[in-house]
This record gives sequence, C-alpha cells and structure tokens, in this order.
Amino acid sequence: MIGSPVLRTNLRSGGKRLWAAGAAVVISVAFVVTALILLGSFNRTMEAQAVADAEGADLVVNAEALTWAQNAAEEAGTSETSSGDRPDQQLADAISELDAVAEAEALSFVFLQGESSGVDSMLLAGDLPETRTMDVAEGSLPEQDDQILLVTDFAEANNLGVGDTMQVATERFNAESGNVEEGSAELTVSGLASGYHRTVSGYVSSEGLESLDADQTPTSLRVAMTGEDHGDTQAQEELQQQIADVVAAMIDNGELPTDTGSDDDAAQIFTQPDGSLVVAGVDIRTQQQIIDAWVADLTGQSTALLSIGLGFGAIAVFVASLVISNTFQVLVASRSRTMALLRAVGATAGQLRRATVAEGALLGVGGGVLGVLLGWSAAVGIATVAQRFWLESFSSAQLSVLAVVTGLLLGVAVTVLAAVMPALKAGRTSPMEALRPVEISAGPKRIPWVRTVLGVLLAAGGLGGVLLSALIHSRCWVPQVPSSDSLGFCSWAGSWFHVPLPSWGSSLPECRV
Amino acid sequence: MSGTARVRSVETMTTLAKTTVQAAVRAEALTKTYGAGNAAVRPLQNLTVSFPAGRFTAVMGPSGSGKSTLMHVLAGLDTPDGGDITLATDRGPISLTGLTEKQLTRVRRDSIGFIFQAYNLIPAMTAEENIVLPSSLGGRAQVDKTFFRHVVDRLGLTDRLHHRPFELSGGQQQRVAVARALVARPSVVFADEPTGNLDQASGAEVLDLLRTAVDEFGQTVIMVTHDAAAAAVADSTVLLADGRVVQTREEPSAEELAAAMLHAGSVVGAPAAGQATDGGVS
Ligand SMILES: Nc1ncnc2c1ncn2[C@@H]1O[C@H](COP(=O)(O)OP(=O)(O)OP(=O)(O)O)[C@@H](O)[C@H]1O
Ligand SMILES: [Mg+2]
Repeated sequence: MIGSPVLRTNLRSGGKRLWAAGAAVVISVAFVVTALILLGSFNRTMEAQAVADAEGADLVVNAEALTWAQNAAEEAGTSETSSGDRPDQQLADAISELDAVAEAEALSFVFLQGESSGVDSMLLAGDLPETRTMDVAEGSLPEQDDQILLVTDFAEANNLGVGDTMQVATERFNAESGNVEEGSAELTVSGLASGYHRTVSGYVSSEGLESLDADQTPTSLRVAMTGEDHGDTQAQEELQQQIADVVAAMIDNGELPTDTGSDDDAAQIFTQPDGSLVVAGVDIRTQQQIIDAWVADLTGQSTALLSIGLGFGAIAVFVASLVISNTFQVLVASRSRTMALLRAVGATAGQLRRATVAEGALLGVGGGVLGVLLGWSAAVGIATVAQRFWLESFSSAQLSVLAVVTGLLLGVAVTVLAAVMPALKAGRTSPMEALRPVEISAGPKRIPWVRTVLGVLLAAGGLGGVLLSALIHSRCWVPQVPSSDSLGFCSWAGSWFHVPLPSWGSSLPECRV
Repeated sequence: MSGTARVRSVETMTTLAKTTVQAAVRAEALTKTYGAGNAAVRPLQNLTVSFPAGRFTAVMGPSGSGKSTLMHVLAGLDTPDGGDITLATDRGPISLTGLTEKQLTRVRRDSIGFIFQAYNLIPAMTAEENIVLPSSLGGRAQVDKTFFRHVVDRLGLTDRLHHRPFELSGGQQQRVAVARALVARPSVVFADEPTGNLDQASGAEVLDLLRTAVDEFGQTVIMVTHDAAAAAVADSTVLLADGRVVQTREEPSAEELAAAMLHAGSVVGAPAAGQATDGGVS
C-alpha cells in the first residue's frame, strides 16, 4: 500500500493541509493519553496510600454497623446494654482474648469545629493507633491529653506548626435531654505526621479523646497478630474465621447489638466475593482485602478524573475529526483533476479510495505516535507539578500499554473514519474530469473561514460545559467521611481549573450532600 | 522535418501495403448523445470506422464534429450510447462495450495510451514516475528497462527524469506524456491535438516522435489534429463531419487535406453524401 503511486502522490500534494490535520490528531490523542497515564498514577498513588494506611494491621473489622445497630436499639428502647458501653470496644476486648492476637484496638474519631486563618474549618481527630507506626516528621507523639499530632498536609494547609495551639468547638448529643451540648477545648500541636492518613487529620491519645466533650464515632477495629503470624496471609485468613465466629457468638449471646433483633439468622456468616467475611453487617477483612476495598473506594474519585480527561479528549477528538474530515474533503476536491487523470491512465476507483483511506491511516499513525509522546510528556509534567504542590507521594507518570494502544487506535480510527466519506468521493471521480478545461471558478473561499469560526465557537462552548460540570463535580467528590485527602483532591481539582476553593472545610457542607 | 517524415512514411507504406493490415480498433455504428429533446447534441451519429494496426492515422474535422468524443469513446474514457468497439490487444480482441467500469479501467491501463492536449501529467510526480505510472498502478509486467531507456533517450528526456512537471517546458511536458503513452507498449495510442498547445518546433518534435514510434516500434497511433501539415505526417487521414466519417485519405498531402477540410467545413450539417467514401480504411 505504501508503494502505491496514488498514495505517494496524495502525500506529496497534501502539504500544509495535512500538517494542520496532523496537529489536530496529535492534540486529541495527547489529551486522552495524558488522562490515561495520570489515571494510572492516581491509582498507584491510591494503592500506595491504602497500603501505608493498612500497614501494621493484619485484619480490619468495620465497626460502623454495630454503632448503627446500637443507636437504633436505643431509640427503640430495646437496648440491653447501657449506653456507656461501646460495642466496638467490647468486640475489641473479645478479639484480644484470641491466642493469635497481639493487639485489637477499636478506633474512633470526633468532629471538631476549629478556627484557623479566619475560616471556620472542620477537623477530624482520631485515636492514635498503636498498631500503626506513626511517621513523625516533626515534634513528637501526643503525650498530654490536650496534645494533637496533626497530619502534615492538614497542618500545611492551615498554617499550623509544632507548638501552635488551636481553639476547637465540640458537640455532644445528650440522649436524656435530646439536646446538643456545645463545649470547647484548646489543643496544642505536639508534632506532624507524614504519610497518608485515610480517615483523620489529627491524632489524640485515647485519654485525650475521652477528655474531649464530644461524641465519638467508631470507625474500625485494627487487629495485629502475634509473632510469626504477623503479616502471614494464611494465618490472617484463619484468624478472620475465628473473629467471625466470635462476632457470631457474641450476637447469639446478645452481647452485641444487631439490626435484626432476635432473628435466628442474624449471626450467620457470609463470605463476600473478595473473600471478606460479614456477620450482621460487620465486615472482617484481611490486610490485602482492606487495601483492595479502599482502593476500589478511592477509584470512584479517579473515575471522575478520568471522565474529565476523557471529556476533554472527546471534545478534542470531535473537533479533530471535523478538522480532518474537512481537510480531506478540501484535499479530495483540490485533487479532482489529478484523480481523474489517474483514473484515465488506469487507476481503479478502489485504488483511489484505498489511497485516501491509507493517507488518513498514515496521518493517524504519525499523529498517534506524536500524540502519545506529547501526552506522555504532559502527564510527566502534571505529575511533577502534583508532587510539588499537592501530594508529595503522588506517583510519577508511567507510560502504560493501555495508553499507547488507546492513543494509537484512537488516532487511526479518527483519521480513517474522517477519510471514509472523502475516499468514497475520490472513488467516484470520472476519468472524463481530467479532460475538462481548467476549472473556471475558484470556488467560494469564504466558507472555510465560517467553518473554522463555528468550529472554534463550538469547541469553546463544549470546553466551558466540561469545565462547569467538573467544577460542580469537584464539590461532590468527597466521600462520606471527609478526610484530609479528599479535601486535598477537592481543592486540587479546583486548582486544576484555576478555581480557588477554600483551603479546607468551608465547602464541606455542600460536599457532604 | 515534415520532409524526412514523409519519405519514411512512404517507405513504410509500401511494405505495409503488401501485407494484410489488421484493424487495431474497429468501431461499429457508434452513437453518442448529450442532452435531450431540442437541446440534444449528437457528436457521434451511427459512426463506423476502423483503424489499421501499426500505422499512424490522423483524424480531422471541423470543430464540434465529434473528434474528441470519438477518441474518448474509443479509449474507454467515455461510453457510447450505442454501437460496438473492438480493440485488438496482444491477448486477443476485446469488446469495450459491455465491460464493467473496473474492467474498462484495466483495459485503459494495460492496452491504451492517451495523450491529451494539456495537463497530461501528475504534478506531484517526477517525469520518470509519470512515465511509468500505468505500470506502477499495477499494470502487467514491469516496464522494459531497455525500452524505457530507449524511448527516454529518443525523446531527449534523460536528464529531465527527476524533474517535476512544473520544472519542465510545455514541449518537454508533452514529450513526457508521449513517453508515458509509449513505454507501456499499449495496443493503441490516442492523441487528441497533442501539438495544439505547442509552438511550431515543439509540435514538430512531438509529431516526429509519434511517427518514429510507428516506424520503429510498430506502434498504432491515432491522432486528432486541426493542422493539415501535422495530419500529412500520418499514413492516412479520416475526415469527420457532424458525427460521421465523411472521407478517408491515404497519404494525403497537406494541401490536399487543407482543401478537403475547407470542403468538409462547407458540408457540415448536410448529409455526408457526394464524393465522401465509406468510413473505414482496410
Ligand atoms: N460533456 C458534454 N456535454 C454536452 N455536450 C458536449 C459534451 N462534450 C462534447 N459536447 C458536444 O459534442 C459535440 C462534439 O464535441 P467534441 O469535443 O467531440 O468536438 P471536437 O470535434 O473535438 O471539436 P474541437 O475540434 O473543437 O475540439 C460538440 O457540439 C460539443 O458541444
Ligand atoms: Mg476536441
């Protein structure tokens, strides 16, 4: 096909027009490739963060269901346990009894309304987990009840450093009066913790958390195993089963609250597709399972990122296909005499069609290769910027097979599709056209201008639409439990579009809708 | 120039006259109509003609008499409304009527050479690429290298092969077109006023080349011309008027042809009766 004299002729006579169409291919492919590569970085970052957060825990038990069940039971007045007892704490105690368990801790956090830089902001403070080795970048762990270890990202965003104090407002629901009682506290920053922290922005000692006049929200139980079993997958799975049995037994004995009341099936153990076990809504996951679950959770955000990238890409591809198809129409029209002459000396209609499509395919391959390179460079640049200004641990951009294949296929598909109609037209050229006198009219020169302006307007409108929807979305990407990282993403997405979002907190009410 | 060409053609004629001359192209009862009703134009009206192989035939006639239309139809560039065309190729006779567009294209590529009045060349191709175009389009066998050299040499294009058409003079361009038509060794070369756009000297050169092709390579050439002197270079001349053959002359002199043309001009629109002979040379 490359050897076809028709194709050779086409390429030589395409000239500047082909360059313009090629640039359109390059840009649209680059958009998509950048989005795909950054998605890869994003997912690797998520994975690394989930791994960091799960580190130290052999199993994680989600205790939220227990809290809900207890609240429901209290409201219905059927509570067998006193409201002072935390069911997750009881479960942790029971799990600690198991032989293989070195430590089982029930973690919770409190909402604190803080004031910083003149902006009302929200801070989630949790128990300092003993099963996780804190990477203290500066200062020390909280030893006093009024000390707090802040997550570095949060501290930086709020201009807080070691030794600074922060005034926080607390809230506690009084079940007897049915009122929310407000209180306040002063916390001193004891140190800064680097690394990724999934649920909270700061850590207080368990005693410190108790001393705060605020409702504690249980999150999860972290279980660490003894000696050699620590980190052993098989041992983890065995313990997982044992814990499920413990939960089931406690439910049967009425030691743990359930939603289903005295239902016989309440204590049944289910195995989920990922291998995790569920008893009465309590998820029991091994380290790898909880990492996978968190990653899957966070991928929701990267899907949003992907949809923006692909949205831009789709517009770029659309505009590119208009440009390319227009270019090919003009090219075929301008070549009609040459085409007719080729027909006259023996080129078949099929040869002209194939040559035009091949011209498109070549343009697509060339533009695709350049687009992949450009997209890759852009992704490397963006990832570097993200590392410097957003998240130090953001994973570097890596060229993936998916990005390369998608980019090339897209480039070729767009150009080939755009070339099909003009190719059919080229095939319909009659050899007699070569014998007509030179064209008398030069054709209306103004129309391409109109088209270009229209195209630009359409593209600008489309981009504006995507920007708008991205902005709206960026306020809703925060998962149910707001945390430093989701805030980071929120404001990062904002800065991506040059829209200043408040550094923390103030947009949360909307986000949590 | 015309003098030498005449002498050679006379010699050729005497040898050919002794053998039975095969028809390279034969057209029977061709009709072609453009438009309909009162506005209908009939460039070919039941035209029957036959052109002998290995000879140089000129076609003359007043403007609008259907010369170009006849060339296009015979060369398979256009289709007649009625009638038959038989082309004698080295793979046996082929009837052009009834071929599909694709088959017709193949016949054009493999068996027919065409030289137009102008715009014969692909601008994006070098002279050499233009010359070998039919075979590079997938025609039969590769171009015969020695024959190519010979033709190019004879046409004086050897040092022009890598130039693009716009770098060549009109005469050189037309010689490239002649080379393209000859190098593929087609069964017939059609030329529609090949010298029409050229000055005297360049025109004479092109005519000389066509004459040589017939004499040296045994090529069949059919050429439309308005120039009686050019037609006189050919072996015979077919006179057209009003879509019909009105006369065929063997070895006419330029003066004879000029006179015949004047006469043909006067009979345009009248029935082609009188001293007009039947359409055909055999
Ligand atoms: N595509 C066409 N549509 C309508 N009429 C046409 C077309 N082509 C040719 N004709 C008409 O057919 C007639 C014969 O045209 P043709 O070109 O064959 O003449 P010609 O003998 O080559 O004339 P000239 O010596 O001027 O080149 C003319 O009357 C012309 O107007
Ligand atoms: Mg003509």
